[in-house]
Amino acid sequence: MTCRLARSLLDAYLDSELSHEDHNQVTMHLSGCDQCQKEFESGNQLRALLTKRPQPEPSLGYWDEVTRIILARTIENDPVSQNRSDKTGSNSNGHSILFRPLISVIASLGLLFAALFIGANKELIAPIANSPFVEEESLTAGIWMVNGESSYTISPEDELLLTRGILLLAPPGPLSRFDAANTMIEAE
Amino acid sequence: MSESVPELVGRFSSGDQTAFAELVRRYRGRIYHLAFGILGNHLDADEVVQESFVRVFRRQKELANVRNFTAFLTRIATNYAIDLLRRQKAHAQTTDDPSSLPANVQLDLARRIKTPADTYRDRKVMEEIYQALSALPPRQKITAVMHDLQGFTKAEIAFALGCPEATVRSNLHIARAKLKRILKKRL
Repeated sequence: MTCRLARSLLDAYLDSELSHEDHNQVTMHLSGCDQCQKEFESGNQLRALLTKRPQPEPSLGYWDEVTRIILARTIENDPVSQNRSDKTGSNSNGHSILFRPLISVIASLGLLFAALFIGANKELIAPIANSPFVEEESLTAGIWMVNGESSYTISPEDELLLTRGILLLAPPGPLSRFDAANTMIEAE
Repeated sequence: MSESVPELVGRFSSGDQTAFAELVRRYRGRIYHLAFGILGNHLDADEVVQESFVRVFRRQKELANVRNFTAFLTRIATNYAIDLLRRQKAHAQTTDDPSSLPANVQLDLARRIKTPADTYRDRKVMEEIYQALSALPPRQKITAVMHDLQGFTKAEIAFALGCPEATVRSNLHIARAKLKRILKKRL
């Protein structure tokens, strides 16, 4: 065997990948050739250096943490598994998922109807206010009243009773409304 | 008796998520050590571990046709490691500051990892090996790491890198010759 051939087989020889026959031939050549023997030894030493090198080993805490992160990035964010967990989840969860949008829709519709109702009333008032019908100022009551076909006015007596009623209905507070109502009753 | 990998892969491909968690537990160490060998630092190795399993999860349905899960996962991890390695090289070439070289970064991080044999001599050897490896082109480096450090066969490396076995042999031969030259004083 020539040195060229022996060196071309040296990697396979080191990795024990040669046939029995080739292996024996390389062994024989190495025993009689210092240069190739030197080449073989340096290859063997390199292999030993690489395989015996210290390997960093992270802590057990790291393995737990990296596993938790991987599962959080995959299973916990997977829409398929999310659907499965929803289906197998508790009733209260299922209810809350259904009720939330339903309540939102109902609340939105309520607000919409309230806005439409108020808007419609304003439209009714506006033509009356602008109409040529009689707009009368009730001087005795001291307030503006709009009169339609059936005239309606508040007398001073009614106004007093109304004011007293509002004051009595109001909760007690720093303005002392009960006191104001009582003062009015006493003044009568 | 623990479940075999093909059984776990079968369960996972049919939608059982607990099988995936078990696969992560079984393979996380192997992928970490492979990635650390290639990239030489904990942060990048950690990224490879996470990203590889996330990619496997996304290809859940393909797994029904995968015969060798280890090779499949290794290929995903290796491809991602090659991307990171190229980014490292590109980053290193944009600066003349030697402290920014990946080898220095990796060694700094490697020092922080406590091992039972975490002695000064071991760290020195590790430093020299990683510096020598970082001088190799990505595919030669990965071939050397996978074969000589991690014990992968040439067929497994060929599958992981998507190249013929002859290319693996050639890369391994060139990588060993270069490493011998660089680590001459150690040999």
